[in-house]
Amino acid sequence: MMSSLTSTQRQFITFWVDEYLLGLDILDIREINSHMSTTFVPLAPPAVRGLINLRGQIVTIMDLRFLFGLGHTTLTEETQNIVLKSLADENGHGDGGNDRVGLLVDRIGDIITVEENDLEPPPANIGELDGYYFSQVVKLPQGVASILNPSHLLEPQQEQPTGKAA
Amino acid sequence: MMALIEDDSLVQEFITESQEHLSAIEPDLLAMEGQAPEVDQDIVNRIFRAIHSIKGAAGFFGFEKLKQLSHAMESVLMRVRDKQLVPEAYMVEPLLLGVDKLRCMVEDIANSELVDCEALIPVLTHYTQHNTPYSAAGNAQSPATEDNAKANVAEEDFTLPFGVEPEVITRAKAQGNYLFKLQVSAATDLHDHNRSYADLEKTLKSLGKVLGSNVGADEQEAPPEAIVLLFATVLEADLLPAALELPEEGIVQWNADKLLESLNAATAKPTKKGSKKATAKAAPAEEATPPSTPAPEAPCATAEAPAQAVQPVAVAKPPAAPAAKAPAAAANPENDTIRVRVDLLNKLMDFAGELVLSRNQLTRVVSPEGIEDKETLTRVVQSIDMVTSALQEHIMQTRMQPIEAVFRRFPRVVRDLASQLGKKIDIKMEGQEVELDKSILESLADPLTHMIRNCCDHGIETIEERRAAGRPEHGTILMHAYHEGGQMNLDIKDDGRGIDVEKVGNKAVRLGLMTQPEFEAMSHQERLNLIFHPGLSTAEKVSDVSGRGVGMDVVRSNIVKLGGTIHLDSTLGKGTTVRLQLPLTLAIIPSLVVRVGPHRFAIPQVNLLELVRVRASEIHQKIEHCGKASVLRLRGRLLPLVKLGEVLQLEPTYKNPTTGQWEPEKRQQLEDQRYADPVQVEQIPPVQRKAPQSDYNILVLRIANNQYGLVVDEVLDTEEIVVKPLAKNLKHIKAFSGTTIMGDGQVAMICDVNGLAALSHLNFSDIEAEESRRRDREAKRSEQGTLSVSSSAASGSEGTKRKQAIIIFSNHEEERFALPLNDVLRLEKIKLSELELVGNREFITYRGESMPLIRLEDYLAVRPSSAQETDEAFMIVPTFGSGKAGIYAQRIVDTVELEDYHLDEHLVGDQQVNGSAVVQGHMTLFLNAQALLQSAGVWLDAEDLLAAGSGAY
Repeated sequence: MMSSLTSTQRQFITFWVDEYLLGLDILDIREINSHMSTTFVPLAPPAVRGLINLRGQIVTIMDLRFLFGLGHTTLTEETQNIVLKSLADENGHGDGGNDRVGLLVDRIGDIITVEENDLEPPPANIGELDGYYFSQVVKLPQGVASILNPSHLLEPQQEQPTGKAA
Repeated sequence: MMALIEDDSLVQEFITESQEHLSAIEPDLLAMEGQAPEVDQDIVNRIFRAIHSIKGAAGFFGFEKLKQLSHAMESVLMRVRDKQLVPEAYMVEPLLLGVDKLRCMVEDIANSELVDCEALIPVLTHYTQHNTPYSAAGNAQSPATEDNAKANVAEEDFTLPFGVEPEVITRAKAQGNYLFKLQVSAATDLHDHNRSYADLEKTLKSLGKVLGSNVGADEQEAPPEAIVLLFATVLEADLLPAALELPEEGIVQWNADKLLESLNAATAKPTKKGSKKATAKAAPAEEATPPSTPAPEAPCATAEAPAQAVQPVAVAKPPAAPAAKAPAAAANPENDTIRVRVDLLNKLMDFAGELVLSRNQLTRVVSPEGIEDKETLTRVVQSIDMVTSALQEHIMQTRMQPIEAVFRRFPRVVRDLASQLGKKIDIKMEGQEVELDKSILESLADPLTHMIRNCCDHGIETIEERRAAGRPEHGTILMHAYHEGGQMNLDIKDDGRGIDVEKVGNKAVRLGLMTQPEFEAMSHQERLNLIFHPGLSTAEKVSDVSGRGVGMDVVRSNIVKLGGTIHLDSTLGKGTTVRLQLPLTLAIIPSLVVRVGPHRFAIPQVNLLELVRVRASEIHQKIEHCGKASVLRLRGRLLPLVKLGEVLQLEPTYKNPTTGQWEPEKRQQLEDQRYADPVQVEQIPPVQRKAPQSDYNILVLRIANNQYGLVVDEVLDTEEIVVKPLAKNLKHIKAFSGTTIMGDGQVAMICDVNGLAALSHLNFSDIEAEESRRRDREAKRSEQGTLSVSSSAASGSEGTKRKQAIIIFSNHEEERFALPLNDVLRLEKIKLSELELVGNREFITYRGESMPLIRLEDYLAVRPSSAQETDEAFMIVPTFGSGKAGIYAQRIVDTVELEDYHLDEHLVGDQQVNGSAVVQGHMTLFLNAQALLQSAGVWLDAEDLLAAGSGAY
């Protein structure tokens, strides 16, 4: 798998939020887990679903569906948390960063391998979704997958309903 | 030069040690200055030794500038030690500056060569020669002396009238010694000074090592006329003449390397060299020290870019240290070291050993086949539990440092400011040994410095002002640290002019922060707190020291960031006290876990005063409304209530007892239910009405000087929690100070007690106003019909005769009773409606305990209490019986001081009465509380019986 990758290839994990097929670079992801008990944070921005304890580290779970303005995700058997890598992970520190973030998604799809050339810049908007959150799009047999830009996800461009979040 | 640093850890050790020396020197220097002209030799020696060891090590590592400066300081101190120089302020000043510079160098050792001390060294050198204050005019002399010193170490002629082994020289050099050839004339240097060769040798041995001499073992008594010695010492060339009492010409410094070369060359060929400084390592610094050019010139022409950056900073005097410190600290905060006591470390080792032992036991008990022996398992788990908590506690202790580390900088700060401002200020410090977490300690330094500056600049008046006010010229600042209730309190108190709230108010009004009527409506405390408003300063003009009005605002936010509170108290013309309350540690805190609906929250216990439960059936009586807020009447005080669920905007829920599911709550306010339509009440299932889960659980929390009650659904447990910081995108939520992981692995939010109060817009002044209004009303009511104040004041002022304070109360208008105040533990207001009847005895619940209430009419031939309109009465709790019973009193008449009164014992036969007397024109029965309690069957301690004698009339 990884070993068979050529230098021009990249791997993405695909997942579904509502009817949209989205992707994230596999290198941005720390792990995927399901149904950890989430602690609700009162007064938090509504896109914050809550906090989970990931082996002693606290991860903020963002509701992707809400971030896209599609209402709250209903928890099902298929909903999963995609925990993103944080700066601290890359520095190799155990507990340096307190900004570990996970994304709550409706359903996990496949892992796809894509040639760099097949990646295209995102249009201004993808369906109802703001193009700001995406870095690229790629055409797949099952449809167009929009690749998320994790840093844009964490720092929303326009003000959130609660005001000075971020 | 840097190449000499072979071992980084050695340098680290040097830095740590030097920093310790430097922080010890500063207070000593100040003490020395204070004691002048009679200086305690111990102090001078201590300073001297500290500077000397810095110099020695600096020389060893090749930190040339550091060595130069410490050397110059050492030379001055040597003269002080030898009583040739009186340490007046004008000469302590450059020494203090020297300490600053040294610190600056040590903290960023790699760039220590870049620190500029060109201006300072001539001043110091001046004092090695002169006792008069240094002036620019006198400057001219110092270069000359330097030249002299240099000339001294000039000629190098490696000829010796005796042989020396190269290894001896190598060893001496490795120990950081300098080599000197001493030429001593037996006649002029020894005989004329009444010294023998043995004396000289003794002196030499005390200062260094004699490597060789032309005096043979048999010549000790009669040495040759021209004595030649090879001497190795850590002392510098210009100290030697004084130390050895030998003429300068006779002392020649040799370069050890060159000497070795010449020795190794086997041929003792004299290698004449030009006048070059002896040690090769000294050369660069030497070149960079053109003494006659005070212009800020880069020490090394080839200095890299940082030189430019560091130079101007280093020239400025007081801010130099912190400014230069910043980049160094930022570079590697993780390399910071901490000193741990060895006994603590040993304990940690013990616990670690025990932990391993427990683990071994655990692996044995829990084998792959399952748990064999449940009892052993329980024991192992217990031991692991114990070891873990002990380990945790002790590891936390390693982070604890005495607050002295921060305190000790302040005498210097105060001294400098006082001289700068032309004031006389003393600083006193108490509780330096109080320990605090290192991280808190470090972030405390800046706010404290700011407050001390405030005290000096604004607080303490000028000498003239103080004299005019008839107060001592010396202002005093007191810093007092002490533990209280799991927190540390730090008081900073000055006896200065105090804060003029009117002035602050005027400024606030002028700046448009508030209107005049608004200001007038404020309480004194609120007016004082205006100081914390950004942009407000009472200083008439902005000075160097402070007055820009950004201060206290920043101080407060810093303290709050640490989880502390700040409280201000000031009386105009008397002084100001600032009290900081700080947590002892940040990392692990004991907390109370509470539940609101399905959510759990942790509340730090430091803020918790007590827990109060109000039963569902009593809610209506005990909880009142004051403005928009609910308040609880708690022991006569009004406690504003905050509902955690409401502040956090949680949907009110309740657990459906039949389904076990959380369902939305429909009632608005629990205490409103009594007003509800009776028909509706009927429809609510009875479980919901008076069930225990409808009780109010109230956490009484403390913030600064105020208290409030936090209403939660349930108090679950206490737990030691590890505080984890909030994620960035949650930081703006004021209600929380952090997150934690609970025992069951779930995440819980840690509530910020201050934040909750702010979010719920608690207005303490409203409550206070209401409270004082009620107090006034009650005071008026109890004053009616009594002559209290005048009578007690009159009798109290009269004289020194034996006095007895008594409390007079009555149940019926025509009968009065008295008890000595000594016999009264407490006086409590009670509500008749709260009395409970058990059998034929009455009880009242007080502080969670049932207390029997004694009515006098049950035990004495007196009239029962008259009918009364109010629900209120009093309970006198006597000291006997440890406050386990109370005496009923309908009305408190007065407290009076009586002198030498006579008790008529025949009038009343009851043993519960000691006698009677006429007080304020009424016959009054003097009760015997002990007998009363005994006849009421209240159990007495043996101790009480013994103590009973003291209460007799």
